[in-house]
Amino acid sequence: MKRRILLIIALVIILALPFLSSCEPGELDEIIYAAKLWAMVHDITDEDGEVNYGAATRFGLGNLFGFGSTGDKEGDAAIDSVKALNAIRQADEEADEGWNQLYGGHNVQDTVLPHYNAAVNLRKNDWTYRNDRGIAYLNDLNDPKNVDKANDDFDAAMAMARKSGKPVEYLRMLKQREQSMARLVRHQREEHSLPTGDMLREQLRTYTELYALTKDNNYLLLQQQVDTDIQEGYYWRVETDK
Amino acid sequence: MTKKTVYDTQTGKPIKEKRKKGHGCLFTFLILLAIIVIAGIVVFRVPEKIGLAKTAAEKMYSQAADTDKAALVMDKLQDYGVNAKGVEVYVMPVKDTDHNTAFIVLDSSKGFNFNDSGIRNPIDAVVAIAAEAQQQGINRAAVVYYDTAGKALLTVTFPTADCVAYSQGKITEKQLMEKVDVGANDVMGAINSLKTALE
Repeated sequence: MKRRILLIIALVIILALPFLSSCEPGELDEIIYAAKLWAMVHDITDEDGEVNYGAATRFGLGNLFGFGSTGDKEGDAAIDSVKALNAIRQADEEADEGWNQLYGGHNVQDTVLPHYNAAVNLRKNDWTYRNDRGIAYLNDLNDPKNVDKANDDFDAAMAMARKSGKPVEYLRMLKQREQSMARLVRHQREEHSLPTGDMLREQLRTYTELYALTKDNNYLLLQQQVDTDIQEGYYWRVETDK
Repeated sequence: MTKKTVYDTQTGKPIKEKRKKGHGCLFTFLILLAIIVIAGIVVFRVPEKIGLAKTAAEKMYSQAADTDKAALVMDKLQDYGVNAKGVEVYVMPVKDTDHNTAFIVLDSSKGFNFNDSGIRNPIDAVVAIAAEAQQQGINRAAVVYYDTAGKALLTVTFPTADCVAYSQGKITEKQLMEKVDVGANDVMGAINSLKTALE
């Protein structure tokens, strides 16, 4: 009996919980209507709202122990996505904080990289955070091996994008890197600062590749602009960077 | 070492040694127990739950989120009148397919509140974004609700094609609801949240 009550309570909560504490009567009506309709078409209640205990138990147990299936692989994954979604959200938060620190001109090794490292650890097969960390490395003039480390991350990002088997994914990865670098360079110039030489060289490489892949003349113009900046020495450099 | 044979003193025939009872039984019991334990571990997905193995969703959504598509979905939601506070959109490519799943996060811990959410009718809200989403190759959407403590409580998922079909009058509201699946992510957490809400 206790078990049955628990399942019914669970079912009621499942259907109405998100809306109970925060809805005004008008909104509540629409949402409760949708929840009731859903329960009815899934045989959890009948047309009079009476609970079908067999279906409710199956639904409750399915949810409690993860037996339930939508009958569709992607539907099941979406239902069971919270762990993956939490990792994505956490990684995004870490990366955002990394960008904040980088935009603020803080020490890369001490305050920027820990955030990107956390993001990379949370989403090991996601090229976004490899690109982000690579860009952070390019801004670390205190590390003589920064370019090698950046290239390791960019290579990993390229391998991940290629592994998807979709050419569009590779292009999306390159564009994400290009846009992230362009935003940062723009911000640095707005702050009357300069990008690092390593950043400009990576920008040049990325624009060259994007132009080769898309034949978009905008990339050609951007490539020429960055090339001019490099020729004229509009960038930060360390003593060995001549 | 040779085995010593014992003979019957009356018949002179060798006496067969009686097999010791009990060990075989124990062995069978242990095998059965091991099978039950292994089956339990597999059925209850223990390795996934304790982080030793990736869940199906982690494998399926391992690629980078599509931020451009997510921005389009968010724009559509805002066009419909949804207040973006506490609302996040992630569009995840499905591994080894051309499919994408849009996750719409409603996070109360980040300020989402149904009172000022602008969501007048949940069915209308999802229908409003479905056509654009489908054009972007998003074949499934999932709405995930997080409570004020930032804990995921409920996931509602549906194929976008059915929402488009509903908006075009090809299927009824009931038929659309048949395609909607609901999962409670934390039943006990949900019970506790209900208690708090009712207090």
